[in-house]
Amino acid sequence: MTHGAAITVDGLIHRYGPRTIHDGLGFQVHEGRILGLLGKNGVGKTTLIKILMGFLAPSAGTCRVLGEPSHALSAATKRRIGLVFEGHLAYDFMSIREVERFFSAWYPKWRRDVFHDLIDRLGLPLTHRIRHMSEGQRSQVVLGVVMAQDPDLLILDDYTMGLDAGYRRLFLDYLIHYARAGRKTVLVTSHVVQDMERLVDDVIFLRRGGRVLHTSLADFMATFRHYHLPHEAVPHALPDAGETLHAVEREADGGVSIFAFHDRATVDAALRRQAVDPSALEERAMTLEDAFVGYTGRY
Amino acid sequence: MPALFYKEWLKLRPVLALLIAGTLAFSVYLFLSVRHQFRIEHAEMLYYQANHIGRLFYEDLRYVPLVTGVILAVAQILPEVQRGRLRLSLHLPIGLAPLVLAHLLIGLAALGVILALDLAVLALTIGTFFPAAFVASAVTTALPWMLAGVAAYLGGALALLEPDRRVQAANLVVTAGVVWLCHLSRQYGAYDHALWGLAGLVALMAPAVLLPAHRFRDGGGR
Repeated sequence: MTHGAAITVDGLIHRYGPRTIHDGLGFQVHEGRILGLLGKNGVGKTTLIKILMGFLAPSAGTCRVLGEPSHALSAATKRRIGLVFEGHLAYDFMSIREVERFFSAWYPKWRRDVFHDLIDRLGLPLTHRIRHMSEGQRSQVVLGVVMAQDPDLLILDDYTMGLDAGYRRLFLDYLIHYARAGRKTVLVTSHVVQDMERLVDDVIFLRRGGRVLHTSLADFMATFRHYHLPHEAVPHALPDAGETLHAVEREADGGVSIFAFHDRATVDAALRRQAVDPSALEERAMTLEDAFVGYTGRY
Repeated sequence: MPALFYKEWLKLRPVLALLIAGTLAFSVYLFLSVRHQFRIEHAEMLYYQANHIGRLFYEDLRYVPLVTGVILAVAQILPEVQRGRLRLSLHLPIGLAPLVLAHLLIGLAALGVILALDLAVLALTIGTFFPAAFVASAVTTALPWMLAGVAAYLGGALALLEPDRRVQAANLVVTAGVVWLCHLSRQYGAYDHALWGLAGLVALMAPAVLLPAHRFRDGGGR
């Protein structure tokens, strides 16, 4: 069930000196939705997340979070936003008990039960200092702090960084349950794209040159397809990607992967127009990670 | 706001304990040093040296406040800027100016306690061996050194918070200039007519800390 927009980005432009990172970017994140922001390194993901978190003023355009400009949020609005920074930033000099005492003072809706539910699983005394924790343990404390604030909107910047598979799963399971049960709006980035498949409702793909695709995960996975042409059927010159064929890439075994938002018949016709025999073409199932690499390209 | 005091207390208490222990150790040294002078020379000769030649019996105190200010700035601000941890505080439901000024207020209060201890030790030591008139003179002579300590603290905060390396260098140069002014003369009473002006100059450094904090928030944070 969706309502108004929790995040509205409109005509966003950002430059670092002469280099333009975003040029007229626009999208909305509706309340109650979980959105994954995906893109390869260097496409402006970090810049966008910094702008959304309020730690970078855009060169032009607007970026409103819960109705206010993201770099000039009122105290009341900041209270409704939970941020998880890359690397699970925390006050290293505090113990678990001190972390709770400090943060709970700022948030009237502090959920002690939520915090301790996560913390108890660590099996650590409350006097344990953050600086003596592993990355995984610290991530649990950080997630506990953010969830206990009971925010309406959570923004998580690459929560997977430094986490092993166990802690990543634990983090993700809690986040999914918390966001779904509380109908929270979540914007998340991660280098582990496969996690997004379980978590997000919508995705935004950022590509080089400022190209953006904003769609629901279900629509994307239903319409974006992977076809494979075996090595024997591949001509010397690869078919060109273009209007019908989104991407064409040679595999390590000499075969060719073709990615397209079209059905088999349309792709067959496109290949024939390029003098490629499509009779050996077969459609392959994809995970989100496969689709991400297919959509954004390997290089 | 009490939560901020709590956080800063947790962060600063080890270094405050060290600074107070250091101040106490220095006070013992200063006391024994002056006492030693009185053991090897006649008191009248030492009064003459202090009164007419302008010999400072407590010159070892001169750079102690400066070092204290630097240590406190580093202990308070460095953990905040490492890995961009200041973003945690900047996202707290409080405006940037009250947040930054509250941090400074806490740092200055902690520094004030140490500097007051320095002055008390000085007054006690001088009062023990010299006539009462020397005590006021010693305190007013040491006050610019205390201001240098405040300038070092504020300059340290300015430089550490600044995300732009060039502005950071400029901040350090300005701070060095203010500290230099505070140590320009070691004569008794040299700053009697300039102390308030110097204090005003040092005070101007406090609101200036808002500028690097703004720059940090608007894109300088890592």
